[in-house]
Amino acid sequence: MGRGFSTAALTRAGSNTTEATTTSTTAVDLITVSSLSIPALSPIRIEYVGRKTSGAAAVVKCGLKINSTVVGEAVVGASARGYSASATDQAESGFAFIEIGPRLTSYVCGSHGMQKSAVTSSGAYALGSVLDDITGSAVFPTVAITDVVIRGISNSALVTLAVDELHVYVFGTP
Amino acid sequence: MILIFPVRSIPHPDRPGKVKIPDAGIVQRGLSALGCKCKNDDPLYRETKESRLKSRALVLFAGSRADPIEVRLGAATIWVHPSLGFTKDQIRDNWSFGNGVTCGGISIQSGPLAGQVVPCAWIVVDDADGPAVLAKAAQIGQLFQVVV
Repeated sequence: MGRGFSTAALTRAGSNTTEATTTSTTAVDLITVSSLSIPALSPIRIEYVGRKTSGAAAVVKCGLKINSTVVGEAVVGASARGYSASATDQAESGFAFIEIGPRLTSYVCGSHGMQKSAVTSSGAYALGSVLDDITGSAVFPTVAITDVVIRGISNSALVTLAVDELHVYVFGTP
Repeated sequence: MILIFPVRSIPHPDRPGKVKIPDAGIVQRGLSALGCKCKNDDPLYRETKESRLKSRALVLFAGSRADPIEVRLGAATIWVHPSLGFTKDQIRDNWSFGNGVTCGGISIQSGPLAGQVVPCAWIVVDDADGPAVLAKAAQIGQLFQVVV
């Protein structure tokens, strides 16, 4: 049996490289990549960096919206669905990635991811987690992906959540 | 009430072509200095393109896996700065504006800018304060022209 290798295993489908910031204490559509055309059967990878400012002892959290479906709402008390920072009053920054499998009938929850946040001044660990609740609000739509939106929430009006360098990649299909 | 403003952008030092826009936290402090108050002192309240929403209860403990249960208070009032080139009806359906200051972009679903994410910023204030805040729109707009 022959084995083939592709040089185009991962292709960047779109990105938004302008930092978005918010002081909203309820969920807001924070940063968006639009005008995508990703078939439902194509696995994808979403990655972005996040940060929070000091100002109060408050967490910040991110969620995920695919097209018009909020699959994982940004909720202060919920399990991690995207970048999250600790409740300590300190500036933090970190990274999150989410991989989503093919989306087809009866296979509408296939996803995983991880995130980590660290103290910006020292690099010391602050918070990290497996994103075990990405579809905690709704399952993935089984249609082509046109929009990827990172939702965000801060638990204090005195703390700013920021997200930047949102990139969406598509894995090559057999 | 949602007020949407244009933002100034400047070249980002980290990469050619990348830009910086104003910071929401700095704008929030500027709003306070102007005597304007956002709704982000109410963590149960948010506004979307279509609605003003109120959660029935806060989810306070980690790992609860529960999303807020929201009730609709009424329609949202949206003011869009005329220089932005889109109308409130052209904003993507169910766009969530939250309840504070947000600097980023809005996805447009119809009109000449359909399919684009237009760089802009927005604030959410109490509807009762809307006329007074709108009277200061020019001053508020200046806050979004400062990029640090």
